Amino acid sequence: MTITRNNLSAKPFSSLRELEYKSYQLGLLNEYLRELTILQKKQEILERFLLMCMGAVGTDKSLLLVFDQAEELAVYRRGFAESQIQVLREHALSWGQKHFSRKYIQKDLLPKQVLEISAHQSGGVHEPDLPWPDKTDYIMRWTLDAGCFGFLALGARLDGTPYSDLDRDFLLQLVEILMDSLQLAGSRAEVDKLNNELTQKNKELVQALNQAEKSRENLDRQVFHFKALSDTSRELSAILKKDKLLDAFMLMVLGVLSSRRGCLILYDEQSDKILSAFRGQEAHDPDSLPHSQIKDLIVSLYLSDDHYTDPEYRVQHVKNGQLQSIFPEPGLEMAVAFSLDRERFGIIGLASRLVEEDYSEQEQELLISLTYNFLPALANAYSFETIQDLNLDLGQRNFELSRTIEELKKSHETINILQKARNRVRDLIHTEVSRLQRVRVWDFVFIIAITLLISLPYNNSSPGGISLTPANWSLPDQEVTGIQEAADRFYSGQAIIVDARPNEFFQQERIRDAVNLPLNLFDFMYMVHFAGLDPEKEIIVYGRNISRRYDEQVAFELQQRGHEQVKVMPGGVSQWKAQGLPVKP
Amino acid sequence: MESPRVAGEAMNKSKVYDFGLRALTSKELAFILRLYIGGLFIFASLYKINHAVEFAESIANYQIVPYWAVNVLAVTMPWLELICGLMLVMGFRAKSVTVMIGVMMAMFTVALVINVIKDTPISCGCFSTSGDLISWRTVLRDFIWLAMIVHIYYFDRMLHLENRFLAMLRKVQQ
Repeated sequence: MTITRNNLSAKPFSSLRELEYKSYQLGLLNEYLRELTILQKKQEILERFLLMCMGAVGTDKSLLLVFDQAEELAVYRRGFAESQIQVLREHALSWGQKHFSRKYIQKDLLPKQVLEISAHQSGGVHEPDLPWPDKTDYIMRWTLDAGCFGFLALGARLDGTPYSDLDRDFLLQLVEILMDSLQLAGSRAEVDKLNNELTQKNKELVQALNQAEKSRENLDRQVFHFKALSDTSRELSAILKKDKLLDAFMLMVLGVLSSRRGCLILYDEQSDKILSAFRGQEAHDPDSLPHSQIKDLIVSLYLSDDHYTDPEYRVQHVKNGQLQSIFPEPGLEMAVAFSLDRERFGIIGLASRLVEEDYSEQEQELLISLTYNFLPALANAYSFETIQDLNLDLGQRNFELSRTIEELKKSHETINILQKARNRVRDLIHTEVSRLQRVRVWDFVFIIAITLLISLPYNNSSPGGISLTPANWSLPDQEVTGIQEAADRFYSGQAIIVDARPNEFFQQERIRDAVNLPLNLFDFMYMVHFAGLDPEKEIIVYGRNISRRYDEQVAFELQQRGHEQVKVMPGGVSQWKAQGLPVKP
Repeated sequence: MESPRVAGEAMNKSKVYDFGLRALTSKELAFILRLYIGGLFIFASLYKINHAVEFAESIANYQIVPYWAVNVLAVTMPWLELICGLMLVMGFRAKSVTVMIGVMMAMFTVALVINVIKDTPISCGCFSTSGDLISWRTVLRDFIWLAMIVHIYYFDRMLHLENRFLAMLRKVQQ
């Protein structure tokens, strides 16, 4: 026995009481509609609805089963015992599942359908499908849509009267109101859900925007870092002096990382030198640092000798704790150790930043990258220094070489001079020797001149000196007689013949009977032969040769002795002999 | 056995010959001869310088020099001998002096030969007026001296007191 609303409305109203009751019910419906539509939660709506049903029809037991989309069963009860409900719940759940599967096949099921299943005037009602509890008087099945449907079960009325048609109408309308309210609440919940989702999405969008902003910042920073790196490499590669390089690098690092101050210490074990660059607000005295400890710290970072040149280990981050135990100033916040090779390594330390921000991982990475860029420049500087040293050495050697060459040149010149001198000496000796061996006319002239110069004055001054002219030149001319005449006078006895030559010649050959009267024995011979001779007696003197005129000298001597008739016979023995006159021996 | 001895002897002979030749042509011998001849001339001149009259007589005796030149020769000749002798001993312009002495000696020898041939009864007059008459022995003696002078001319090159070193140094200094 099922009654639709249309059937109900078609039924004519018979009495006023009925009308009043109906108006009362309409008033209730109106009130309930207002109340239910205000409520938003499905649960609240259902609870309230249960109460409304009970109040409106006057029963103390009510039960509402609601199947919803998630195939869950919600049970709302008033007045029924829990034990009775428990059995129903289990059965209803299985029935619901079955119903759902069937319903999916019967797509033609209309929404918003209310179906009165049973209405007992008295006693319990037993739906064959479900074990409804006892004293269930009225059961209605409602279907809001495919996803939401349920049953409304009411117990018997308190006054014991069965449910009238009006009551059933009223309940039908009330269930419709419930369904409308549920729909409204569902829509509202849908809107809320959508709204929530929208808000959530909005939030996510804002977050994404922030993320994007952050990424952009990061990107900017990275660009800045890359630019700094490339600038560093470019600028550092142009610097070839170590000191300047360290200074420039330090300045750059401070600028890029916006640090307050920093220091760079480079240890060169090879030449046992410490180079350092301090930048920033306070400068340290490099000598005051505990270098041995710093060195130990750096060395402790390189676990093996290979690490000094291994690209992965060449630049290493120094932990803050290690740093502050060594450096006297507490300000250092970040440091890296670096190594060129086993003998040359160093450390770079930076104090806090100018901006109020700590060093991030990125800054640390940047510092390491910068340091990696700095190492080739440092190596370059070392190479350049080596080259310069070599150059200097070369220059020095060059200078020495040129000086040696200069000296050699001088020596060569000296040798040349000596050679020339030697040649000249040799030539000289040669000429001297040849001069010595040559006979020169000038030598004769010289010797003769010397001889004359000495001999003539000596002869003049010497007591044994002699007259240079022949003696007879100073004598007067003598009377000369010929051979024949002399022979006539000699043999007639009118004259005597005197041989004036030295005795040796007289002895050798003489005119016969001639008397020898040589000059050297003149006085003696004169005494012997002529002492008693008449001075008037004619004396003929002969005896001359190419070198001497003995006759003239003797004739002069005889004249000096007083003899007047003295004559000279130049012919001498030779002519005498030629005339055939006698000679002796 | 025969031939080596012969060869040895030949070698010895050639050795002796070489040694003799070398000794004969040595500068040392020339030096000794130079001193001897120089000394001879100095000695010969000393007496004659102080006895010009006697020397003039000696020259005249040879009857070669014209009468007007006898005295001049008698005065200058001893001095010439002395100077040449000294220079020869000292080794000053030795070559020229040797030639000069050689010429003088040659003249004396020629004069001597002429007079020996003419058999002129004179003494040599080489050292002093007194002495033996000239003879072929005198000529031989002169020839020996002449040979010595020739030796000196060709082989003498030792200990010449000439100032050539001084001159050399002076030139080097320039």
